Amino acid sequence: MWLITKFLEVLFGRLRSKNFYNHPDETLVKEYLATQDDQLFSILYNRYSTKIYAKCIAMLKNVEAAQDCTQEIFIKVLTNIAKFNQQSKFSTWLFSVAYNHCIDLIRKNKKQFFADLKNEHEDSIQEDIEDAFLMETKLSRLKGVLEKMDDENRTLLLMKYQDDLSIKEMGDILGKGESAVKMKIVRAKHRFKQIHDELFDKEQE
Amino acid sequence: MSVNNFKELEREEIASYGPPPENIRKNISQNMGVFRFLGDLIELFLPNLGKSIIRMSGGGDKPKPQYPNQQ
Repeated sequence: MWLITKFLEVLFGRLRSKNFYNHPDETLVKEYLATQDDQLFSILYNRYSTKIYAKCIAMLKNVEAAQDCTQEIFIKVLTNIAKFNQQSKFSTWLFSVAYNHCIDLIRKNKKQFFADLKNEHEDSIQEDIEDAFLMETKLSRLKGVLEKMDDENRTLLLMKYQDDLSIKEMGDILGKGESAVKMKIVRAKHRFKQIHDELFDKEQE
Repeated sequence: MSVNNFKELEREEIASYGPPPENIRKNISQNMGVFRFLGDLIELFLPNLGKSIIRMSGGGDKPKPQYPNQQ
């Protein structure tokens, strides 16, 4: 009897979760919280695991570490999913968790990641660089420049231009105020241009 | 529409790295199974543990009233 009940539960669970394939993430999260149905989480996992995995490899530059990291991120998401307040998109929240986790891992290896901002405001006079300059950089050049950039600046640019995180969301991830994050982005953009010019101006000459 | 090659780079990386190995999904499921089991255990035993501690410390249910013929 118990086996039949379990079988029916699994069968109906699967049938119900099939109806959710086209639903938005937020609906899936709500339903998951109400039912704890693994199939619903599986849909979310299928939607985002490849992206999170690629992000982990890009940040950690190590496939094995990225695999562990992806696993840990999804476990973190599952254990904290009740804290997701539906005020932001689920994807934004998931990327925040992913960035936070990767930054923690990098911090463990390199203690200087996102170091103090004590002298941050000294060079605040720097002019801002147009977003278009970065976004329209040729793909091959973009790869080259990002490869040469340090973890901190590269992460900031990826958060801003790849995942469209807001300044506030970035601040929450990094544990910094909004003005400090804005300043860091200006610096990262300058560093990008500097490396770009070093690498490709010579090429043009 | 403006070009954003950061997004293009992401698409390229996703295509080249592919999905994570299948054992990651299994590990996540196993981990969550363990967490749920521990949660169920706590849910099952914690209220009784509390009651036991109260009883051991001399508290607990009030004694039933005794009828005069039982005294």
